[in-house]
Amino acid sequence: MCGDAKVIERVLNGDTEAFGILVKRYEKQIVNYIFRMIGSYQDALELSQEVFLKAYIALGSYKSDYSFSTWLFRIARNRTIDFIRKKRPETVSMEGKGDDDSMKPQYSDSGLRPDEEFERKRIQLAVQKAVSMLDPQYREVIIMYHVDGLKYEEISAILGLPIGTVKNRIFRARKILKEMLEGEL
Amino acid sequence: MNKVCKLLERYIEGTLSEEKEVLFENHLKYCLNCKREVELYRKVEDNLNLIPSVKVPDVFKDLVMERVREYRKKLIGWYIYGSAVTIFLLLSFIGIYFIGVSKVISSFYFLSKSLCDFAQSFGLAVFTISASLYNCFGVGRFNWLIYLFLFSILSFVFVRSVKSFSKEVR
Repeated sequence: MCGDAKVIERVLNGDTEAFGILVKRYEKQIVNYIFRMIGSYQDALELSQEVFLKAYIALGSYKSDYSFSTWLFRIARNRTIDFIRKKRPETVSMEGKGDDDSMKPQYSDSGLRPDEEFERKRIQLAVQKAVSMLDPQYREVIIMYHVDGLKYEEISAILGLPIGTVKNRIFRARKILKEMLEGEL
Repeated sequence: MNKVCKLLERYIEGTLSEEKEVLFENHLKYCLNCKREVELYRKVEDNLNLIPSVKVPDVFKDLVMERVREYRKKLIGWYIYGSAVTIFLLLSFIGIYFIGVSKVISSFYFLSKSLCDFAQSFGLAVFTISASLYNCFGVGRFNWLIYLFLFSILSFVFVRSVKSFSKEVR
């Protein structure tokens, strides 16, 4: 598998289809980040497509000072914040809207016993609900760190904050979550 | 809450010195409150790590690539328009250079004058036709006859066009 830099070079040299490799490589992280930030699966898919298109358009201005994923996450973050600002009054749902199943997120099977599965789901829903109620500045670091599995350095580069501040923000977010979930866990 | 209890947050953050960490871990053996807090923090962290990832539809990449292709098509279209405008401007400048500025200005003057005259005549024609129509369809005794006549012509035209259209389709 070739690195991001090589694929980017191919795209910039006119091989448009090579951009599909980058989409396939980062689609999961971007869709998950946006979905956990805004709560609507359908909107998350739509926004993610916009993010990739924006990345394609701006690919010429990408500089290798940061990794491609960091740059892509920056675009995704800016677009998501814009979206949240415009849709401010609406409550964020973690399970998606609408009756149509294709509009709802699909998860993989956990393989647990029904009672364990029920308890796990109950706690998980409580945790996800609590995360969705966090202030966006705390929500985004929690999602980047715990859902997308980004490292402190990567989050710090995406947000343009010192690593210490990122660590502190994650800790504050966990503290708020702990207080919110005290009766549930 | 004693002095050691205050180390809780830094213990969770992992920023305690080795010595203080050992001190706090010993403290956890008898301070139920701190023990409960640490357990809660751990549970929150574990559950955050368990937040499931959503699946991305298989067609997602194709949808993005379709948008990319559309964008490229638009971009090419804009390049063509841009080139056409540039060529037009270039030719105009060359034309002006060869014909001479005063001649171009006088041509533009005559062109705009003719356009004004045309607009004036067109306005007058519209006004005359509307006035005549108003006179024909105004209050009168046999208006219903005129309407019936017009309606028959329109129906005839409509039926003929439907017939010819169905023939074409067949």
